[in-house]
Amino acid sequence: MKDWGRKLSEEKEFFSVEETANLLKVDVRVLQFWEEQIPLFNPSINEKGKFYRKEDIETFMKIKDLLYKEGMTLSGVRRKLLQGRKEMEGSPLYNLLKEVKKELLLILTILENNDKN
Amino acid sequence: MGLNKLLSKRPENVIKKLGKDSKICLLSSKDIFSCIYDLNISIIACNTRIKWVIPGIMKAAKETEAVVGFELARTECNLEGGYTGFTPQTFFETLIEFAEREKFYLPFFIHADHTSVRNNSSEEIEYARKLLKACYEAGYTSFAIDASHNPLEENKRITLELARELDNEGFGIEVEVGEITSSGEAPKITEISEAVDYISFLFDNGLTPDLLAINNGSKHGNYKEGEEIFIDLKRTEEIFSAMKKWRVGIAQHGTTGTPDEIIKKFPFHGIKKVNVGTLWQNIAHSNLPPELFSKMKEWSENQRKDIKYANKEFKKEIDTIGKEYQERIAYQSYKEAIKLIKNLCSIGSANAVVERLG
Repeated sequence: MKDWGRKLSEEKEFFSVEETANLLKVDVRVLQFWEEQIPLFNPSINEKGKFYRKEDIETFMKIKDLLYKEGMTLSGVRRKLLQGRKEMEGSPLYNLLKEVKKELLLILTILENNDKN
Repeated sequence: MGLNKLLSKRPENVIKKLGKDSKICLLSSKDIFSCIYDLNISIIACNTRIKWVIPGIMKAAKETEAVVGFELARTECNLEGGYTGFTPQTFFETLIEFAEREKFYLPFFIHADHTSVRNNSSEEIEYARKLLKACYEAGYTSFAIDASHNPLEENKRITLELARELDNEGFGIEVEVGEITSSGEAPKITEISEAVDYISFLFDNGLTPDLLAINNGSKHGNYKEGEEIFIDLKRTEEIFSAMKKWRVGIAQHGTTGTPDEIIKKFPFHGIKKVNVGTLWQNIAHSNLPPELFSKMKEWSENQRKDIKYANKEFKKEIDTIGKEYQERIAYQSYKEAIKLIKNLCSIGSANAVVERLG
């Protein structure tokens, strides 16, 4: 847990599949299976390969904790996390934050365009 | 997963040992193999001669939702401790202790591998009966009767006599025709007619085995240097197809050393159970404290015995190795188990069982 915390607090935004597997101490084939089973991941894929985001690593950590600390099965974890996401998506706060994110992204684009000009 | 419903399917002997409230999902292999019969899935059955490989295998199964089996053969584990030092009772207790520790609550089975009956003497049959009873009382959920060393007619008679009661109680039953040889010995591939004759006799007499072990060319133990690896998958599939009306799957023995390209074909040739033993022992031996392993090697050389016999001789020392060695063995076993589970199309196999039984 200490390792995860330290690595995640670093400036790094993206983690390769191997880095993620080492960080979590799971096999790369397990990551792939979890990603297929629990559709909550949003990795970036480019010509260099697949890279997980910080949020993806946090989701993997949550899965591992639920498996080993709570003693849940992966199916149980899937149900819990998907239910959690569904509840979150239905909440007014989530919708508000989504709107804020949209606005901020718009402002960022405008600022970037201004810089270019 | 309908795991709670699945827990109610645990056999009586298991509930007696674990108590009703236990979350350990130890099922009869009959239930498990009936669920995967129509699927191209092979399940690994691990002969865990050294206990430190067990948590790695359980972790791999847990993270990939795979069904696994744990087993030891009569020579490995018996009333006197076999060559691993395990009795059925201590083997069962060890597995359950690790399952609790790892919070391993997926379906699995414990199998009495190769309960061999080498001749038709009453002493030999009586010993096998006693051993099967001890395994049943310990909490095993699956049993292999291996009378394949005997002529076919004797094999039929002995199998029927020893397996009937366990079969009636709903336990998984594995039987064998065509003795599987050790490395260095020439194989005698099982004939289709021999397998059909044997299985039809058993069914005609009311026995309903789930798995048939055949000689398809594989060998027990490590292959000798330069020894050719040949597994007759064509014959394997022909035998599987010839037994379709009885829904009997093939049990593959002697997997250690088999190339991945061949292992990947197993699920598509009627092989439902894949026994892996020496691989786990190799992993454990290569990660033991070097001074301990040197002592074991020296002992086996002096005794002119295979290194596997050193497992019992040094059991006390093996069982008390330091944590770093335990973890190294568990990690290597985890990696190998994941690879096998993936190659045998067994990722998610626990879900197949839950969907059908739960």
